[in-house]
Formats: sequence, structure tokens, C-alpha cells
Amino acid sequence: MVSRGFLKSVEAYGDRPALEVAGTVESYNTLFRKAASLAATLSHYQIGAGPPLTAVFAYRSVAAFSGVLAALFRGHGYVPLNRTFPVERTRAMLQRSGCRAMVVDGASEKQLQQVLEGMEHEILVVLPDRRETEDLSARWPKHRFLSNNELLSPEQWKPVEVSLDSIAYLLFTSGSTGTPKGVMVSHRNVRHYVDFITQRFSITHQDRFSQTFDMTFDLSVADMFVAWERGACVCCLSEKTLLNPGRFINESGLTVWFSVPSTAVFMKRFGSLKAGAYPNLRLSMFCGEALPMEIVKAWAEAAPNSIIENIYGPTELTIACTYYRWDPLQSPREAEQGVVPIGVPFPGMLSLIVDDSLNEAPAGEAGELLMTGPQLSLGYWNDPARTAAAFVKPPGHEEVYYRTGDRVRRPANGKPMTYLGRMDNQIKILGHRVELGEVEAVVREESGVDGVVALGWPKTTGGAGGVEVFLETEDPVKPGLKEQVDRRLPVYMAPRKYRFLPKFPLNANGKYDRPALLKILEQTP
Amino acid sequence: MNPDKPTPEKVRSFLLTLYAEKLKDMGLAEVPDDFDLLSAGLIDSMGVLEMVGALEKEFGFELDMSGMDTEQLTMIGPLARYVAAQAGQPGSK
Repeated sequence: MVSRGFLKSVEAYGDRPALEVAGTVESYNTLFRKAASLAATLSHYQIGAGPPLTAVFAYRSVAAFSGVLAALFRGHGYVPLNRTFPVERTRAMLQRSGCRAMVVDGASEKQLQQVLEGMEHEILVVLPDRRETEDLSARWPKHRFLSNNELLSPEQWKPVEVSLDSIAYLLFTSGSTGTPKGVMVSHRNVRHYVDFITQRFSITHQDRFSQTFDMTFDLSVADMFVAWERGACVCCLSEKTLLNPGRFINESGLTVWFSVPSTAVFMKRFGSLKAGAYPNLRLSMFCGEALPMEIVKAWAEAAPNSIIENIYGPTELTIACTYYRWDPLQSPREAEQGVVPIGVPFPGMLSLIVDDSLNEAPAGEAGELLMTGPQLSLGYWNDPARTAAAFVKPPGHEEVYYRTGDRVRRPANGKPMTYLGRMDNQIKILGHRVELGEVEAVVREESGVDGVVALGWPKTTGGAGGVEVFLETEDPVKPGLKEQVDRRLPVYMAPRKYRFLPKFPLNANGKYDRPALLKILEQTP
Repeated sequence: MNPDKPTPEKVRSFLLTLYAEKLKDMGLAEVPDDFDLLSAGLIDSMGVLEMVGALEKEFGFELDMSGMDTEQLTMIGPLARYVAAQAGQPGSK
């Protein structure tokens, strides 16, 4: 089980810090007691017979971390929700997951009220940052609310054994048809990742980890459970500190850094990657989008005592599943298009690089990356059709592989794999996975215009800075269109600009000519 | 004295012009010193990068933001003062 490492660390390092977040420090003991108390309460007051899932509607707060642990302590998987997402999206995730219980922090309460509006099933809502809940109970008699004063004691929690194949977390990710997909990741999946990383980097109780990722981004799982496996401390950055975390790295005494490459791009731009700036970092990992070589070079100078690894993997393959060690002499020769290679599969994971008919591509050629192994997730929640489309048995293979949709070069003679781009219209924005099709579907629905093309813009080495959309219409913009779209998409997915063309250019196949539209953006930014 | 040397007032007024349209949409009569461009949703994190680029272009020197308190990075007043102070630093051109 994923939380077993945390429990062992409570025994061994009870008084040491497990978490620093929002100006407070929680030791293993205090964090354990908070989580056990929540877990006991959630189980005791359980409503109805929903799926074994508990939502955590909390953001970079103590309740967020104790909520995740509480869900796992009661034998449930957790479903992270994010108050920086539009309410409608959060409500849809909660509805789709079928969760009957949720833990909510103080700062997410304002949104909670909107999320509950129109919820079909009853929910047990636990609010550890509150002293009383009368106002909420009066407004929503259907749901059950519990404040901090009503929590059971940690001693009332009883450990629950769950199968390694049960869900550890359910994480919603962008879906090209307009509705997010819930990826079911099991305890076995996470266990494999955590075991490999803790051993590879000899993590100890003296390490101090960054937590740069929102919990709705699966890379956050790595920081928590790798650190807690060995009694290390997780130091969570505030949303704003993320923009320029240089000071935080030193003031928090971080030894392990993990972020999307974009964060390092920001730091470089802000003058925060000066030579020797971060001498205490011993390990730096980047994941989530293409890693530009120029950024790694700057990072290596700023953190001269740090190993730098580029790791790669979609949510469906659990956090990351390939790795590559940066080497100042060797790597520039192995990089392609100025991007650091994604390397080789984790031990136990298998890769297959295939052509359009899913047959293996010749060595040295590019193709779609398929992977399988102990980190292959359980598929999409209540969505057999989309699971079947993405989790396939290639011809001549007995195992099910996940189709990543990523174009990589099949290495020859033991060389690392290099990332070349996408097979489809998925892009990365600051490391977030964005299906342009989803943005298009939402804009189409809200505008009533059929011809809609979304493009990643401005282009960055790692992906794109944001999204811009073209609408095929002569009419001027419908009033309120932007506001309506913004209400349905997270900030990073919401179009930054709308452009109108009476007629879209078409390619030879009669489809919208996306490269031609991109050219318009280049010429008239 | 260089007539182009930015003062906090000049930086502030440049920022207000840069985001004039969005500020107008918000219907703000006055922009307070601690008005936060990011929290108010006028810019996203990519917009912060673009803003730094625009400031450098306008005032003709390379900004070093590493000394800026991140909680104040996108607040009009503190940002304007920081940029103006940076312009007076040796090494800025």
C-alpha cells in the first residue's frame, strides 16, 4: 500500500518534519494524528454505498495533505479537486467519480458552496479548518457537514488492508472529446515508482523535497510518497512562490527539486539561475514537458552539486516511467532538436515504438511510444470505450500496452529514446496536458460556431505558453463568449485570444489547415 | 540625468497603459498600490514573462527579478518601485 511507507516513518521519525506548507510545519506524528482522525471520521459517518473513493478539495494546505493520507488510511483512493479550476469542472469530476465523501480546506469553501449546487447524490463533507457547520447544514440539509470539533480521535482509526490492485488515486486529465478522463492508478502502480526512485537516489530522512505540483497533477504523488517512504520532509510552495522559487529553495534548505521545465525557464528569465545559487540541491528532476538543453545547462551551473534527471511518463503510466541522466559531455550529442532525451524505461517497464499499424518501427526510426509493465494503470474510470482505444495488445504481443500518443525515436545501439512531438493535437502548457480538441469542443458549444480551431501559442521549447482559438465566422464575437468558456476550462486551457476568419484555409485532404492558421499567429501575434 | 530613466511613477503608468483595456473591463475607478495583476486575473503566469519582456523593451535594460519578493511580484506598486530601483543599479544598461 502507498501509505505504508508513511506509517513506517511515523514509527521511526515521529518528531521529524513530514510537511511544510502555508507557513506551518507538521511532524510525522502530528500529520499522522490529523490524517488518522479524518480517516476515522470519514469511515464512521460514511453515507450510502458509493465507490471506495474520497475527494480532497484542498489546495496547498495542511488539510490537502492530511486529506490525501486520510483517504488512503480508510482504504479509499483519493480524488484531488482544485479550487483554481472552474466550479463546473470540479462539480463534473465529483459527480463522475461518484464520491460520497470529501475533505475540504478553508480556502476552498467559497467554491464548495457552488460545487454542491446541483449535486445529485448526498455527500459527507468534512471541514477540518472549521469550528462549526450550522450555516452549511441549514442551507443543504441533504448533505452532512462535520467541523473540526466533531472529528473522532486518531485512536479511533483502525488500519484497513486493501488489495494492491485497488485505486490509490483517480486523476482527471484532459479528454479530446470535451470531457475529462479519470485515470485509475493502483497501489501497485505507485509502489513500483516509489521503490525505484527511493533506491536509485538513496533518499534519506535528511532530504527535503520541493512540492511544486498541484495535487490535480500526478507528479505531486511522487514528492509526497517518495519523501514519506524514507522520513524526509515535503516543502510545498505557494502558488505565487512558484513563479520565482529561487529564495524558497535556499530558505527551505531543499535537497531535492522536482518541477516542470517551465519553472526553470521562468527562473532563468528572472535572473534566478546564477552560478552556484543552489549549492544544497543534490538531486533535480524535471518532468511533464520537453526539457530544453539550454535550461539544463543553466540549471547545472546554478545547482553545481546536483544530479539532473529528465524523467518522462503520462498519467496512465503512473507519474514517470523512463529516465535519463544529464551528462554535460555526452548529452549534447544525444539531444535532438535542442531537447534532452527521455532515456530508457524504468526497470520492469517495457517500451515498444511502433508504426501506424502498431508494428515495431525499425531501429533509428520514429514512431509512437507504447509502454507496459507494473506501472500500467487500470484504465479510465467508467469508460470502457476510451480505455479500449488507449490500452491495446499490439500484433504479436500478449501484454496490454498503453498508447502514449508521443512520437519518439527508437534508439539504435543502446542509445536513449528521444522525444520528437505528438501524434495528435495534444499539447503541454506549463507541463499540463491539454487536448486542443477539448478546448475546441467547449468553444464550439458556447459560441454555436462549428468551425473552431485551437492552437498552442506562443510556442515554447517545452510546448506552448497558452491557447489561442480561431472561429470560422463573419459575425463579431458573441458577447460574453470568453466569460462562458473561462467558466468551463482551467486557466491554463482557457483561450488567451479569440480570432475570427470568414473562411478557414483547407489542406489537400479538405481539412482545416492548422499549419496555415499557425502561420497567421506567427505573422500577426 | 537620463530623461528616460524610469521612476516608479513612469513604470506604474506604463503598466497601466499596457493593461488599460483589461483594467477598463474591470471598471476600476482607481488602481491601488497593492493591486495584483495575477490574482485579479489580468495576466496568467505566461503573462508575467511577457510583462517582464515588455518592461525591458520599454525601459531598455535587462531586469533581474531574482531579488523580488514573489508575493509582490505582480503587485503594481512594489513592482514599479523594484523596476525603478533596478534601473539605478550599476550594471543595468
